[in-house]
Amino acid sequence: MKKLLSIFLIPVFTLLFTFNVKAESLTLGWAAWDPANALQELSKEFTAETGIEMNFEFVPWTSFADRMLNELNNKGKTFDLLIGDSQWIGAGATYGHYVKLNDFFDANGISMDDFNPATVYAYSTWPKGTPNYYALPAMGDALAWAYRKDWFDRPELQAEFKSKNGYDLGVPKTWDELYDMCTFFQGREIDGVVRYGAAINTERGSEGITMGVTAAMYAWGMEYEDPNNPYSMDGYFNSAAAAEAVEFYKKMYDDCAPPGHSDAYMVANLDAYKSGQVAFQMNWYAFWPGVYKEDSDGRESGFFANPCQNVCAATLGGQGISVVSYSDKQDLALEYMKWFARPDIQQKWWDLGGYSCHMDVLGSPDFVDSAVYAQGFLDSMGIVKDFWQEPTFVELMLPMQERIHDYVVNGKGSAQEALDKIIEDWEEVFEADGKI
Amino acid sequence: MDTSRSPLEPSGFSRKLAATIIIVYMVVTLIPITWIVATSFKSVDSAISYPPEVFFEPSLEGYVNLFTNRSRQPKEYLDSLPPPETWYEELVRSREMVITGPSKFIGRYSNSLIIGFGATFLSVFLGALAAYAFSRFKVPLKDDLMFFILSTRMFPPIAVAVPIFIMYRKLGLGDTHLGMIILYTVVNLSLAVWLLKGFMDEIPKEYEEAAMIDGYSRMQAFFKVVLPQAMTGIAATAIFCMIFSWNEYAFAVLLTQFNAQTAPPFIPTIIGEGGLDWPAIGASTTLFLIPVMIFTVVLRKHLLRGITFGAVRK
Amino acid sequence: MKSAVKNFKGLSDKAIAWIFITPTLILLLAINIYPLIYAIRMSFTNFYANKIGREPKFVGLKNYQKILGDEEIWEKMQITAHFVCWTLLLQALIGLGLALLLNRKFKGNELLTTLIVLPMMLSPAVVGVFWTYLYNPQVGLFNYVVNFFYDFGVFDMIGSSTLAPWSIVIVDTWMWTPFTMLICLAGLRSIPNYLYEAAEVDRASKWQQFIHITLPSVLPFLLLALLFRGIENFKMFDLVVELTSGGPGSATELASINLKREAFEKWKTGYSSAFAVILFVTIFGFGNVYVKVMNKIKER
Repeated sequence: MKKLLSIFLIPVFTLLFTFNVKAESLTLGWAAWDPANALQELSKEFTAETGIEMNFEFVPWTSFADRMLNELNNKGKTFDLLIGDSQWIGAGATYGHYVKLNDFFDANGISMDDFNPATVYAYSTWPKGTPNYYALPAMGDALAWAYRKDWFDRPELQAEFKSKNGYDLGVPKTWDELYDMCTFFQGREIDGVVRYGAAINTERGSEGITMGVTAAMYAWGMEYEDPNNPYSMDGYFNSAAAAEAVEFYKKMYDDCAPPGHSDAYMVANLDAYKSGQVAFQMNWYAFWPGVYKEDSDGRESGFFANPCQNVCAATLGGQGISVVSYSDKQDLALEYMKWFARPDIQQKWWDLGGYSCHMDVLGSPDFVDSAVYAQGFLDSMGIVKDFWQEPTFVELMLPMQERIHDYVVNGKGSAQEALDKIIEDWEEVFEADGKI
Repeated sequence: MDTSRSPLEPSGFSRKLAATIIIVYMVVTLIPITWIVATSFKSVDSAISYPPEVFFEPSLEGYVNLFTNRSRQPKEYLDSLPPPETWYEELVRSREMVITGPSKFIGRYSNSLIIGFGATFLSVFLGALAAYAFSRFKVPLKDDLMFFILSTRMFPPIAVAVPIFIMYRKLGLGDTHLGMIILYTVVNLSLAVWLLKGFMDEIPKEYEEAAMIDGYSRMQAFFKVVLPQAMTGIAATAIFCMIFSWNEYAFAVLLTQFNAQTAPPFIPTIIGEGGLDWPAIGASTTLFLIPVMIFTVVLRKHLLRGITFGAVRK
Repeated sequence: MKSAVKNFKGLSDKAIAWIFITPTLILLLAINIYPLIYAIRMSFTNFYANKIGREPKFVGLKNYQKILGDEEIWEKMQITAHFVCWTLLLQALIGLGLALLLNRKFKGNELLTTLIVLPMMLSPAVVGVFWTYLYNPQVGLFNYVVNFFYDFGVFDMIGSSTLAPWSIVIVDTWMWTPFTMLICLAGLRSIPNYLYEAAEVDRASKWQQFIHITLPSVLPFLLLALLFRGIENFKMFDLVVELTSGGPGSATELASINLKREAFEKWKTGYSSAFAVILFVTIFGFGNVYVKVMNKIKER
């Protein structure tokens, strides 16, 4: 009898025990890429400090928007925290998906002045530039370039380039120089294999080619609209300089890209570069830690910010972290945010491969030396421009993707026509949205 | 029973010609698959090597990466650790990483098994019943009902994704095995009913009638006479239902997160460092292929059977 | 056991018929009715799924008018039609051909059949991703093999707007021909032997047997296979999206891809529901005609 009782008691006690020791937990959603792994690693400290379990759902970029926006539109409670793309901030604020953070920041001594102003503007504020905060800058990012420094260091290549172009092979200062260097490598045999110039963004499906072409357009000085007359785009987005930039991008695609690079974005560019196909790749800073760590077999990577042309500018990437307003655990989520905003945690974030936006980290004297791409990152964040962040940003992105891809990859029509048609599409969208 | 028939006279030439065509087709068709399986055994670097490597040094990196979560550690930390105890820990250490725990792949895989087999069984079972009824009985509005069943397949899934999402959330079926099984069954039923009815129509009614005259009830005749004869159709239907439920992606991404997430939404998230982990993706695809293949192999005997003849045994 | 037999014996045919059919009908109705009503209701509104809090406004037939009058929509339908027609044609010929070839007893028959069926078993998303590699002009096997037979030089299946529509036809055919083949094969296997024996007694040649016995018997199965492939390819989405994203430009933007963009990226629920309804009605119409033809052939 005693034996039976004890056998019976064991599961009962176990049940009681687990019932009492129920851990609190939070769910965070982000895209599935390197920085997400780093964040998961970093968050172990949060769990150690507070005992709150962190659950992560990382969705591949291709399905990220579908999954998250569907969840938000249906007021889903699956996520407590969301690291949403910078372009979602307009929708997040306007439709009430994100919790407004001003009071929280004030109550907890978190000041937006502690963060890089460009990142605050881009990731946290809506309407743009107003002190209404819906996200904490989490991941700073911009589009930049990596190149095969080991090839550049070869004396015979340096000599040939100099005799051909009259200046030294090195980090290009302008897009013209970039083009010279890319074409120099295009079709060149190095170590017995044919190489190509540059792996650039040409992706059709989400935002790839737009991010790529705007890197050129911003450098040519393109503005989306008249600064004094919002939503008045004619003459600005389709200016002669803007069209010239788009034509230049097509030239880059025709003359410098490897064959078959017609639908390439982050992964394809990385693969082309890592496999030794190209001398340059265009990609997000988020990937540079991985690229740098994987340098081997003689490959040495260098990094530089988007080259200037008429002006110096770079395409903005990056995300802010927000609290989902439908979550039942907002106070826990805010605790996480408070923890994440701490300067010491921000420093660890950078150390692990995340791009902190905190001024203490960026301004520290060790920052520039902490990584090969750190200086580039600092430079880039000072000159970034973002695509529209309107709630209707997808409707604005889609025609640009289609028409630019049609021109650059397919060769349809002219750059000017593509831009003019895009403005027509955009005017339709703004009209329907009541903005004009 | 040999039911093989050819339109040509069975000469040696025609047989050789047929064999050659089949083998050529098979080789061409299987090249992409062999390439995927080969990729699963490459190391991360050689998977994207340019020019592509046909002969390579095999590595189990893909499989190890698939089943584990790892994190990169600085060299000092690695040196301070005791030597690796297992072969896979050693492999991971050689990449300057440590294993932090098992990945979610096994969980996703077993979800796929549960949901896949569950939906297949349910669709074939219900489908067979309905197909028999439509085949043998005078059902009022038969053609219309059959067409209604077909029409459930005609609506673009994307348009119904959101209402189903809403409906499932309200019913508490979101992210549940039962919910996904029901959903996949519903999609598969149209194929199951139509396909099975097609096969059952070919089975002569005389057999059941003979059995019933001999004392079998309609139910018994169905289970003991018709179903065995319909095994060819049942096997084919089961394979197709299995394939669909196994590989479905769109609904799985939207409707499942933690509990019931199957493998297809998980596989593209297998990120390595600096991009996709192609060997791991190859590994997951290869492993994911195995259950369906086994299922097919098990059923192929029934698939290639002909209709048997002879007296029905009492 | 004996008592159970007695019970079943008691059920009439009519009762059995309803017991067999109702679970299926109930399940289908339960899951499909709400989404259908939702979609139809939405199609008459200008609802935007992401603009929550804004009540949908009834706009009558405006969405339908907009879609039917949109030139670009007709382009997408054309691209879809091209895809459906060519994939069905190729899969019918190759599928039936393979089934006929495999329908004979020879060593390794079962193994070959199992292997040929493999492409169908892969996830469409994975197939799309891997085929982008195969189509790569630099490192892809596809160009290599094609140039082996006839040197076309460097060509880009996915990047060229003339070749891209064919690239998706090829991949879909590669993947789904086994479907048609398997159904035809199962159908061929179901042909009762006594038909052939009777024909041999009548001294019919092998070719005559083929024309008069084999072909008519396998035709309903072939048509059934094509019916389902046709419906699926009309709604085709994930394979093509992974392969080309509908590009270059919009050269391979199938109807469903456009639908997804309207519904899930622009969140134009009202507009996209109308488009979905139009697609549904189109498939419904074609399906209806097809099924009637199929039934007529079966009766003959």
